[in-house]
Amino acid sequence: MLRLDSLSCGYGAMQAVHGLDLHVAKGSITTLLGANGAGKSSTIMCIAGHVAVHSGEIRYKDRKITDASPMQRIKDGISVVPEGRRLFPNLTVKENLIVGGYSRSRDESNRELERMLSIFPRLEERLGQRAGSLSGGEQQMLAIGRALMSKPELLLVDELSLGLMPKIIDICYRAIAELNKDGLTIILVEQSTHRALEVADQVCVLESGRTVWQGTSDEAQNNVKMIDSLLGLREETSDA
Amino acid sequence: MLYLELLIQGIIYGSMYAIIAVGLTLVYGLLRILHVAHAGLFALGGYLGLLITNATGSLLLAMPLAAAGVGLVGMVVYRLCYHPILDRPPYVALIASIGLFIAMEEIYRLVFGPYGLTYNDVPLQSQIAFLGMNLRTAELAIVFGSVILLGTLSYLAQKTRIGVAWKATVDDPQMAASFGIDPLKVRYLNFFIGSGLAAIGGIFISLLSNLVEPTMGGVPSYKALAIIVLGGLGNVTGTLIASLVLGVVEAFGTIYIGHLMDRDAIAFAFLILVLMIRPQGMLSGR
Repeated sequence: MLRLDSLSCGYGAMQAVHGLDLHVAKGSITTLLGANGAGKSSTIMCIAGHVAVHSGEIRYKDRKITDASPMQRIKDGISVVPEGRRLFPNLTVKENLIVGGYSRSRDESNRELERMLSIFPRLEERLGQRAGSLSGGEQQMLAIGRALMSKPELLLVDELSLGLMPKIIDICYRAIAELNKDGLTIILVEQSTHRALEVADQVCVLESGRTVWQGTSDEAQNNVKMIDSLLGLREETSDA
Repeated sequence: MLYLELLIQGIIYGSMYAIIAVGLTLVYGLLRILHVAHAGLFALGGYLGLLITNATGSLLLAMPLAAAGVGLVGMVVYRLCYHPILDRPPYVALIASIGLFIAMEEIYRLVFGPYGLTYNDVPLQSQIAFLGMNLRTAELAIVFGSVILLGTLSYLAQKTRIGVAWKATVDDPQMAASFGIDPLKVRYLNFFIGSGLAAIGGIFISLLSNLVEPTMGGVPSYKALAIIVLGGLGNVTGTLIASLVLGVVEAFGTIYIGHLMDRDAIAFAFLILVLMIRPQGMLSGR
């Protein structure tokens, strides 16, 4: 579904990702792992069209989208849950969801709104509340809901569990698993490695903007050398 | 009775300031630009309104035509003056805006003459009894017109998809674009509406003074600039409240300290005083 070929991207002269190759199959969950500054978020935002491509190519559904605008990409079915959620804090929950479905017709958007509220019923109680006043967990649910409002085929999720209580993380991961079961392709950036490995089909480990390992989730769990390269994974898996 | 009269006079002027200042705050909220050239668009609205009214005899026709015409000019101003320098520091746009305002004043002087134009037959000058007072129809029209226009704007912002898109773009243009909202279209719309409101403000003031002249935008727009600071930059509700407060302070001030300073001096003295006490504005919103 998505191919990154020798992708290098960054901010101005600063290059954050160096020659990344990644193939994402339709209906799969791919997780990008790595420490802070590894280039995970830059990769996600580059796929969404917000970080400039320096060289290489992005192909989506066999079409080159390297130079496509973020607006074009969401119309093509790529949606993003960015790091820090980046909700519209002065807009209500309902307005945030309406913005999420802006690329669709009003009728489609209304239908998706109903579906979203069935996935995250807690948002229904907060529809008229300003997004900036929600708890961290509710904000994350809203960020996912907002991204899903455009009926994406590829969902990019950056730091799903960051700063959330374990109970809320469970809800978010359950939602991710269910959406994937319905056929949604997902690229997940995480620092909470063992949670990501539980749902992922494919794993890509980044370090300083370069790929240091790629394989299946099972291979990742069993590859000691890679595990050692991931900060804290040994402790997390043994705790689990 | 005197207090009620002063209050109503204050609301009339406050409504007019609100119409001008909301257009300015819309631009500031979206682009963080102090759009001084708004004053030039305000004057252009006055000219177009007067010329169309004199040509057709219909103020009702003149208002929407002038608003639409100035709205389109506002879009051109954005495209030619601000769009190419959006990535520069804000003072660059401010300097460009001041330059444009001066140029507009000179163009009006060349095209329409230096002494100003007057209505052939000033519309809405009949007297109406209102709460025991005699008011000009134009004064009531200013208040009700402002309420209708600002109410419509509020409805658009709260209840329509394009309004929600506009608010999202103000909050975070990059994320708004990532959901399919075209920031360029939102900016054009913003300038169209803001400039259209300025045009209506220009027509309102010409109805009170029966004069449209090249520099008419100066004082009301300087006040509007101060009002948007007073209301909390980019805060539309704060701008509306600050406009009404300023209008009322002016009205009361002309009676009680009018022998010391004129209406405009009272307004600016009040603005300076408030900003010394609360430099963040009366309603320091976002």
